[in-house]
Amino acid sequence: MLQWGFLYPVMLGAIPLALAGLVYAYLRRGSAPRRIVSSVLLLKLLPRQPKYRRTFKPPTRFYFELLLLLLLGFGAAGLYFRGTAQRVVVVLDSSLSTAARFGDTTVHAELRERAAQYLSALSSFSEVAVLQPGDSALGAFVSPTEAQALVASSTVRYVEDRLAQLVTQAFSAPAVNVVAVFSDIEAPSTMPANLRWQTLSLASQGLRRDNITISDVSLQPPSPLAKGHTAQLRVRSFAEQAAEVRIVSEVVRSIKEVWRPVPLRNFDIELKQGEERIVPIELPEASAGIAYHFRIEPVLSDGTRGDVLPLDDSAWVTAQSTGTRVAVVSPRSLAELGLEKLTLFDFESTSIEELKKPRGAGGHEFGLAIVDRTPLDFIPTIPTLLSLSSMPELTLGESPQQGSISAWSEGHDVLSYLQFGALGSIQILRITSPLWMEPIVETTTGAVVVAGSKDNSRYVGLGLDIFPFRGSRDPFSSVLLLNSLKWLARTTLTQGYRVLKTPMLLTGPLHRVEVGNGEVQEPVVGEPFALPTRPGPFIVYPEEGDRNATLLAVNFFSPGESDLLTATGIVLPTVEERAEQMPSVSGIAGWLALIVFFALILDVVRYLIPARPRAGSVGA
Amino acid sequence: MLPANFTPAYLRQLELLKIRSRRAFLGSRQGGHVSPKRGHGIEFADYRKYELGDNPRHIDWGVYARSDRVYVKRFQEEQDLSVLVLLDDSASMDTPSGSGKWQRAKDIALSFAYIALMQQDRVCVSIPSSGDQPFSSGPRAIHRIAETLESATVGAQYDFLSSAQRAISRVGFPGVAIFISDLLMPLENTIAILDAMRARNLDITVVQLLGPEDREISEGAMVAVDSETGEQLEIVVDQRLREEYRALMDSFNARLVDYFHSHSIAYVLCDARQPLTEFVVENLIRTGLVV
Repeated sequence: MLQWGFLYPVMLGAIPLALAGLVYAYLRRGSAPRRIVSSVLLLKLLPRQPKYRRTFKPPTRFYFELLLLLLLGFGAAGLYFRGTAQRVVVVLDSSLSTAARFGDTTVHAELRERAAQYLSALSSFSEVAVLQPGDSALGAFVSPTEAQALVASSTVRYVEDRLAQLVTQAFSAPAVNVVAVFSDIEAPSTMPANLRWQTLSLASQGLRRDNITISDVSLQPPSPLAKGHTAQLRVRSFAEQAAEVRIVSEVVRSIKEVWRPVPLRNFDIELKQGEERIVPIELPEASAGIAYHFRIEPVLSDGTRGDVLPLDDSAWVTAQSTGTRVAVVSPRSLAELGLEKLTLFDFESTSIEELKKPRGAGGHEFGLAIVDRTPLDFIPTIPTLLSLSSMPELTLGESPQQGSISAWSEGHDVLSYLQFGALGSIQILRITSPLWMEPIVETTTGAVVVAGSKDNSRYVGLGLDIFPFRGSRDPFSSVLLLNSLKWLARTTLTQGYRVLKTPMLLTGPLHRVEVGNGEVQEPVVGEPFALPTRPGPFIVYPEEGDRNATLLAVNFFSPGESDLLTATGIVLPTVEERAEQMPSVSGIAGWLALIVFFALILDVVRYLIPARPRAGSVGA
Repeated sequence: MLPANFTPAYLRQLELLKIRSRRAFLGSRQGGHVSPKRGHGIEFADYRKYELGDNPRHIDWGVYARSDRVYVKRFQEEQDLSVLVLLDDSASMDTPSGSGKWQRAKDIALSFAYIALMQQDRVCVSIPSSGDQPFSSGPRAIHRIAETLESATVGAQYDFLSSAQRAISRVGFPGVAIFISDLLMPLENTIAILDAMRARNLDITVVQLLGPEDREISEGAMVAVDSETGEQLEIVVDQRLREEYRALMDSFNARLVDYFHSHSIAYVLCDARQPLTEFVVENLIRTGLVV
């Protein structure tokens, strides 16, 4: 409670006296404007004028001097304010679980409301810092009013609460008197005396707590032996009743489509109370995309649609490219070659001239090359797959010949998993290879696949057509292509899709990040860029313009936050007992003296600088 | 550098003028004004009996033929004239600030100086608060005088009477004195300054320069502050008081004019708003101060 008073109240008696003196002085002086005239010689000869004004109409300066007088009087009387000061850390739980529906609002909104009420009751002398889950450090101590603004602007974060850690962090701040926690978690059984804990949980209010969540997701790319993509969705029930869950899957085929995914297939599963089920989802073969979105729409057995925490009902999977740019020189387009279905590489159609340039500064930036049905008059300087193509030292027969596989190099990586026995008679162009290349597959009419290394680059020559890539519909060609690319790129290519989890830090070249709804974030140059505060897709632009844009999608899986049924027990560390408040007296006599001092200077300056006379006003 | 309003056309008009003195004064060298000194000149003065040693060329042989007596002709010599321009630099000359009265006074003083210098006269523009100014002659001196005037400011509250008397006391030669002032000072002070000039045998002309603010008084309440003494006077002016002030001003000026007439002092009233050319070229010629 703020109190105020005077140290020397007797001095207040001087104010009326001084006030009377001021009024008298202005009555004497009058309020007529001062005008400098050449001479008052003749004016003095005019009939005498009354010295006192009939009405008291003081100028603005009178009020200024009146204010000065009052300040001086208050200062002399020793005006002071007295109150109590606290150094408070407000721990506001903004973890995912607080996004749970709480009537018409959310738990988080109610917690914010209660924190604001608490802050409004604090003395204005108090200092407050606000700490939330996910904060890297305790923020600055500010006034209770500013802290209310911070609390009001708080939003739910996709993080776990970790309240014990936050409380410890709050008490470790210097000279903290009180730590006030606002959370949906029940207070610990034993608490320090200067820890305030307000719980607002669905359980304490007797509200429904049924929640069903996607707790994990994975996606396998189409293997040569499997049809289409296969997703595995882990769906878990934290409900007190059974539910029928509709699983919705969507695909994003290009970055432009990211905000409008295309529906793939929906189906329903039954989920018992507390059950966790891994749901395999066979996605259509033609649904290859750069990202997949899965969400659940639960209908509880009592007929209630949706659960109390919708934010954990969604999951994203994105394609993971090796980042290798592959130059494709072919009379056929990428679509005709079927390479668009392969997300592991960034395929780009290019020309022989471009490929002929050296790699690096001034040249191209490709890491691999596929040359299809195009004769080369040079040996590329990067690993190259030559499909029905020739180059110096490697020639193809002129006309196709019919033959059966007669020999192959057992154990060569290019031939992994290939079943030659099942292969009948095929049509090939015979390959004549140099000494540094090894025939690894031969037919009765000649070599059909050769491979070798030269100047640290690998080369594969094919005398048969393996395009277009058709996945499981043409296992031999598909496996041969993937093996060849794998061998050329010296990579395993096992992970085709990835599941990112929040929070994540983006580093490296960043220009801007589009996070949906047209919102664009521009990172500070040189700083790690933490994204996103909410799960979902976002597009990273490493440079100005749309080149090399990458789609990322982030998930938040936390059973602890999704589980609204189980009360989490918190054990707090021992903290030092501190006084809860300190008296604070603010004497403002010093401030008043300072104000009066400057005001006096202003008054003197205004007095010394005469007003500019009005032209044509008076003369003598 | 002359002020911008001293255009070539204006200067050509000034070059045609000449400061007229109502009396003949002895000069220090040959000039354009008739001197009391007899000697070589153009204008015939009188005859004198021939004395031994006179130049026979001056004998009037016609008189000799008629009277059989030998007389020689005498001529009035033409000499230069000393011109003192005394500029009132009291604070009232620049009140209200920016009214143009002070600048107009400086322009008039410079105009007189230019006329005098172009006629081979010696001139001194005296600004009491700016220190002693020497007499100058020759057309080139106008630039130095112009610079002095350009940098001159009105004095703050100071004793103009004493300063003016001191400046007049330094005049060594009799000649013409031109006093430029608003004369807004006690009458006895004006008389004291003019008496000091008369004591130096100067042919005096007073140019009274008044601004519109000096002649009229606006209605309303005010605290009038004297620009020179700082004296304050609270006054509420109405129509009646305005007329009374006007009458007082006329009466004040009438008393001044009476004094000037009774002491053979030429007097010209100048309105600060009047164009410079009109005042110098027309008014001064009409009043006979310049010819």
